[in-house]
Amino acid sequence: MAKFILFLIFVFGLTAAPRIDSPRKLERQIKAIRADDVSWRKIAWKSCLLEGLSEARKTGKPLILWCYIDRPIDDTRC
Amino acid sequence: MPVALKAALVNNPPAGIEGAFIREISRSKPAPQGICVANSSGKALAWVLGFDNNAQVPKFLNHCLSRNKEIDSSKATVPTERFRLFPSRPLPAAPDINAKLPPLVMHGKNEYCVATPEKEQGTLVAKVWGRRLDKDKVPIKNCVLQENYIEDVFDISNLLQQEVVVLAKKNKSFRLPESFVKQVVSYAYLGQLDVRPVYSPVPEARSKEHHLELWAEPSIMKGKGRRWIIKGKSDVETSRLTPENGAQSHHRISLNWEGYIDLSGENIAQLGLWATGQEQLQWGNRNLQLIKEPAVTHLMAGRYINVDSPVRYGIIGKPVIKKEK
Repeated sequence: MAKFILFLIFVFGLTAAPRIDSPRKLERQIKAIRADDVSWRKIAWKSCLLEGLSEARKTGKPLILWCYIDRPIDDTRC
Repeated sequence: MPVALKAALVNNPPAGIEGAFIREISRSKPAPQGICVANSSGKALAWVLGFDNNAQVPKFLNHCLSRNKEIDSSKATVPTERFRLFPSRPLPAAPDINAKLPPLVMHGKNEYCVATPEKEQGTLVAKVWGRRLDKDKVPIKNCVLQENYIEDVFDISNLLQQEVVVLAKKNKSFRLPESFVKQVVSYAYLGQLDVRPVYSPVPEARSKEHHLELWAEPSIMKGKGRRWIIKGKSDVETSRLTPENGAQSHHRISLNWEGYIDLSGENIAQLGLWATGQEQLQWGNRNLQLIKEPAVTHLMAGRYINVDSPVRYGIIGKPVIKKEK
């Protein structure tokens, strides 16, 4: 009986989902959901207006400004 | 040249050189949010709040490029064109008041941009990734939409970290402080800012925390510090109904959490969390479903969202050691 219980514990240990208890294991999980080539990341958004104006003067191109988050909180989510 | 500016800056420009340029652009805005094209002198060429259809988006940009070439930016008076919808619903143009703008001087080496202020040393900067899965538990392919996929960044202050450190000093399992858990859980959600279920930015929203519990168990020693294994559950919900325009939202996220916190001295050296669960999100005016207009027609109002799916979230947090913009 004891051997049977030990066998069950062994099998359960083999089949149980691995714990996410280290950076390496977490990175593997995140890699599975991270979208590396998402299209909106291909736009090189600046957050500094002065940098944008400086680049505009060098390149002769106008700026496109996305004015977002009309809420009284500090957040990076649109 | 794409630049993203928070409306808080545009609507309340700060003092200084950057504030002067923001104020000039903000002066002509038709609404608190929108898209503006400005020339290299900092004069707004055009504002737009929406487009008649998708094809008008590149036409608007080309229109602004042409206008930019026609106007000698260093001398000309630049009235700002404004559109409720481009091109069918123009608004009255905003005249140029010929405000004197300061010389363009970049931020110095030890200066911070108003858009990205300095962070206190030791602050934990956490990045979060979230993605919806389909019914077969495969990550959704369309990652353009925020209700399918998000990447976000948030801070965990020294104060919140120290609440954890104090509890960890007893060297036995402890429940993570509610303020810490809320800060983490509040960023694990899909969709736009308005549907954030914890610390909702919408005053009319009604939030409910069915379950918010993360526990830390001591694990291995890591140098002079210690790793703590995290496990727990969160179940948060928010809803809102705006009777005057029929806009409504409901958002519920139930997640099982696991991960680790490495403590070193009085701070968190690194944080890693993984969450799996289910997310329901309904948002928008139901009438929007009946109108078959493209989404670009009502960018400010948004579009109807209705999802109920398995989700996955990953969070990695590391401290700011040097000045980081």
